[in-house]
Amino acid sequence: MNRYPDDDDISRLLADCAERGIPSTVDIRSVVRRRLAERERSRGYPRAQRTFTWLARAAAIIAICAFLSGEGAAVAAAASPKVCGSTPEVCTRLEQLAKSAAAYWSLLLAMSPSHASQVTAGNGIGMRADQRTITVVATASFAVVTPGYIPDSLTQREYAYVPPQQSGSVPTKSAIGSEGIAASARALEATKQLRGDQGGGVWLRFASPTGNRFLEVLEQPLRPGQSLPPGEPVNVSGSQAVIQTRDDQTIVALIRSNVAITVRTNLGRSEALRVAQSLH
Amino acid sequence: MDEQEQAAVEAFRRGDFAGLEVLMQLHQLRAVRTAYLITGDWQVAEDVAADAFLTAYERRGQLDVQRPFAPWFYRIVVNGALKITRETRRRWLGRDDGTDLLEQQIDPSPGPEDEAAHREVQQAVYAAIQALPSRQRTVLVLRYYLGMDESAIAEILRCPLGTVKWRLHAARQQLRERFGEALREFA
Repeated sequence: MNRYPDDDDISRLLADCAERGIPSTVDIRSVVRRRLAERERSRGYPRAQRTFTWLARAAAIIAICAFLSGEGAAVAAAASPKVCGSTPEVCTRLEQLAKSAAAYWSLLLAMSPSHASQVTAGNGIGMRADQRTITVVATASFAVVTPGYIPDSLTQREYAYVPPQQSGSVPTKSAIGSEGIAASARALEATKQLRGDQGGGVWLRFASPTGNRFLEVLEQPLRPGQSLPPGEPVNVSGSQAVIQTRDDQTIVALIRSNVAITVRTNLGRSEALRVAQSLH
Repeated sequence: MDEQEQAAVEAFRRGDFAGLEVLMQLHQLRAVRTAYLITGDWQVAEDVAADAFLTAYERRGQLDVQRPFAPWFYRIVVNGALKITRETRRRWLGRDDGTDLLEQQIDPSPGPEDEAAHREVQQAVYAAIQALPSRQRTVLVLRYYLGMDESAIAEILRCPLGTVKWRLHAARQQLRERFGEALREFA
């Protein structure tokens, strides 16, 4: 004879299931600490208390670009750059940093892709003095996003950034960098490809130490008339997107505002979608 | 909320990591198990719980230190678990038929007859809960695992009290219709 399960029955049942499923020794604190540290490190816009640190790192990009190009400081006029509220003292320091490129190579290597995006998505790096505003690295023509979720095992990170080419301005400089490994031929190749487009773009790569698991995010300004490639339509956080599997790789292409974003990974469909949904 | 938790909540609210550490110590197991009951996947449950602590830390400014921490925090856990469940279509027991987790949970080694029978009952009951829609299962978890009352559940899920009551009733009804006898034996 059936009987209505009483509250105690159900409570006991659920408790039993939970205990069997998750041992009491489970400990996620180290995961939380690590992710928290990563989030703190990858904030999109510098907080007031660390503006100088951010500027110093950004200056390293500028400096190394100048160093690589041999043209001195990479300076491009910008229409309306915001300047992080830099004081004259900070600007002076920035100039000093930019002049000593080689000394900041190590700083550049220590940077994460998110710092590159700060440069691009942030508001450019600039200084204001004597009524003049100068931006030394051009901003991207779109809001750069970074994944809020990255699988923990993907500890090696590379990035490439190519600013938009602006007619009539001094040619803008690209930036490449990495964390945990030397800048690779792959990053250089990505830079080369991005440079082929006038709009430039951002390329981020996250890989496992062995390199056999990876995740790439490519962001480029949307070209007139550009639409999504063929694939299975999916909804990614309200944006139109398609997903397709090619060989052992999953590719999610989406359009968000005026940016075409491609997420490519060999981690499978669910991870690809999760990363795409975490872009912010 | 005891004094230790109250102090931790206040520190947490100020952005003090020590407060977060204490709250993790106090709530991590329950958070993972709650997420597990909704998602049915250990790994996903750990992810959901970890994300919940991070989200809570980011939203600590919204926390009213005069009110209990648990309902505020478990709302984040439950919503995270529901979101994942909706996104991945994972069922409570990992696969549609639920056999994989059942195989992990139930000792396959031969035992006395009554033990084998009991395992069969367990399997049937787990499958019954797994078959519940995720929203009904969530209400069940909040009510019977976390011990929250119906009005607190309504607040957490941001739905009318009547909806919570209906979901609870429907969940119990389904369990009774399908496995009333099995439940009685299991209990």
